[in-house]
Amino acid sequence: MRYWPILLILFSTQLLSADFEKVVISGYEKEVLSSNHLRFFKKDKSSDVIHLQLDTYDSSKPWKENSLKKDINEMFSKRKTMYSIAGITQPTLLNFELVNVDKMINPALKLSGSYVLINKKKIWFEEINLYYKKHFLQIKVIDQNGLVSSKLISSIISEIKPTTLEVDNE
Amino acid sequence: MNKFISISLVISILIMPMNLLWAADPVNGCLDCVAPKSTENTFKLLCKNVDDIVCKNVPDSQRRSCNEEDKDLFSFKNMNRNQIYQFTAGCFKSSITSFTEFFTDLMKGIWSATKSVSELTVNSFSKNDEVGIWGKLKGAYESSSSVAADIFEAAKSDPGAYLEQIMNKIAAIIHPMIDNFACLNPQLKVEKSCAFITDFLMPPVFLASALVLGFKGLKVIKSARLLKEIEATSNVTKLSLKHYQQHFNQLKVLGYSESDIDKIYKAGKLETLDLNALKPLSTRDGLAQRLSLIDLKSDPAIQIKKPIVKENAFVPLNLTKDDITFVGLNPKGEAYLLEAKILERILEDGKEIAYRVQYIDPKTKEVTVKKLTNSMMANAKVRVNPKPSNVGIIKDSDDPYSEFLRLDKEASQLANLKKIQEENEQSSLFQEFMDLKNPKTVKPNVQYENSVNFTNEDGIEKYKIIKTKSIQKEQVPLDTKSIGSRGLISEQFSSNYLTISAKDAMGNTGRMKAEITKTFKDRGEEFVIINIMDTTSQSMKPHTFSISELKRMGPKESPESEKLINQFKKANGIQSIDLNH
Repeated sequence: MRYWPILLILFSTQLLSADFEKVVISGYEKEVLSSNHLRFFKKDKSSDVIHLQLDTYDSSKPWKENSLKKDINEMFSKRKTMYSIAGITQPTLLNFELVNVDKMINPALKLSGSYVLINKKKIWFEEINLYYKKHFLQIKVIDQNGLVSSKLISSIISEIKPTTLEVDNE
Repeated sequence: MNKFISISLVISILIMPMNLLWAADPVNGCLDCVAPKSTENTFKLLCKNVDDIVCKNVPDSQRRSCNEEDKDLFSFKNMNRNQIYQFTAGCFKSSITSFTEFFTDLMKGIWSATKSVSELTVNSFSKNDEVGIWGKLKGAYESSSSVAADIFEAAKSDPGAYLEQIMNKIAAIIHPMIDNFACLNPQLKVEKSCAFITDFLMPPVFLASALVLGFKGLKVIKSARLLKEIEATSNVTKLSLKHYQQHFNQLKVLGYSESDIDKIYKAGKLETLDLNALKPLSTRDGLAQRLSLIDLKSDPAIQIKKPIVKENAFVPLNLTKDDITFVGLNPKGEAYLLEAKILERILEDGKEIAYRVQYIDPKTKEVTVKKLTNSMMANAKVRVNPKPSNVGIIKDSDDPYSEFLRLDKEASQLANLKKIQEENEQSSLFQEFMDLKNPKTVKPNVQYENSVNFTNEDGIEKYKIIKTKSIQKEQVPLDTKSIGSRGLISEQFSSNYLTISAKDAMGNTGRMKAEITKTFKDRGEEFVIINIMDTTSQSMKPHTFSISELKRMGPKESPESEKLINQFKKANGIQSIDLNH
């Protein structure tokens, strides 16, 4: 819940709309993986990378506090399956929480955790899923050096201004 | 829509390792491939990439349009593995970038397919919920996106290790799909893809599935695996997964095996089957129906596999109230040890003249029903007294096991035994072989009068296959209550036999010669298993004793053994017990 004051300010400010593919994050190079998937990395090849993805979701079934733990457990079980298919081991969920976001249709889901690659490298990730009416925006930071700071996620959000993004069919 | 999703899914699965192959061998890459716009759907995305490679020699007028989403994308029918490799290797230049997108689609597809299977087959799940159990799951797409990002970074950071690892995982499903799906009609292709996906997901997802689908869901997923057994045949009647599942469940209840159902399905009889008219396989009518449904005569493959067993060559080794163990010999003289369940005792003038038995054919795994007559057994120089009080008693002079041992002495017999061991998992006797750590190292090294002893090369494990040969006429079967305690066995455990005598509760003196059937070591301690008649079930039952314990007790009762025996006698109401050599 520690994000909500920042997010409240961010999302209460209605700015000009922008295309998803035009999103930039200062200090990072952008790679367009697809029209709904952007990757940001640093020129100096620092360990952290940022993935932004936009996709649809079932808005009739938002995350709810009273069933969050159970739902997250089930979801992470599925993620473990996905990881196992991809040869990634020891997926661990370190934290999860719902963040109420002004002007967003549903609370945002924030997750952090880690996993181990085939080459035994441990990777940490932090992601936040922001929900529009029909779409969600996922901001995911992946780092080899440890769990990224909450400040980074906050600064990314403040920079990309999710509420200003123009999303088709919203 | 489901159909499209499923077809797209198949294609996605096919393509995913193709990317990997390309990355593993960029030499074979297709330089002319054009990465399509990522905004296009998966089908078009894949189609455009594949088209220039697979279809390059096809005239434009005959070439399929990538807009025709419901049509088969390509056929592997006429491609060898190398060509498939070339095709896959050259397919996507934009490998790693596209891969992320494909992975996301693949994950979504797998989830959708699992949902599809569940919705089709588990009616009870979604009566009040259109979306069904799947609707209760949250975070599907978020997870697909999230994991895709992780996969992307993993593949990018160490592509060699990553691709090698994931290729091994994917190869398990990709090759069967390539080999078997090419000739399938779209309906079966969809069904098989679902089955493969669920199959693919089974090992890692088993627990996750339990969480998501619950126990019923797991059963559905597991039974869906059966579809992989369905062979591609051009004349198979189309049958939806839902119908197949319904038929499958009902046939299973009637006693049909999975193999039976598969054969019925492949014979095109499943859809038109009147399930209400079918009788359980426990009935004579049901068995006749099964034979007509499976139609063995029309299936040459089955006929070839079916062992031809000479009817007059049945050699009963053991006969109990419910079961009969016998050796069948085929015309080549190969022995088959079979354990059959007695379905019916056929009487004539109050005497049992034959048995209708059911056993699993070691070759075909078919459940076979056969009538064994006394005359057949007589031909095999066996006398069986069917009276319950004497069940299991076989005279020395008529010992059928010697016949078996005669065969067993021949060197080729061992190979046959091992073959039977592999094929006849149902046989309790051959289960002993199964216990060996490495059956290939088993060699007969000692032969007793009526037994064969097998020892592993390391000399640790010993197995004696011995059947109880002799029970003296005057003996009364000993109640097992008087046996299962310590200190009741003579020191003759070191040979083949143990002689035990006791008085039962009725005051009758019983003396029996029990035989060692097996010795084994467990955590350094040696044990012996002997066969002793259980008067309750009228069958021979194995009893395990520690050899060190037996040695300690000895034939002359020590105070300790006496104490133990007295305790035992008191506990079991036995009047007296003495040991006899």
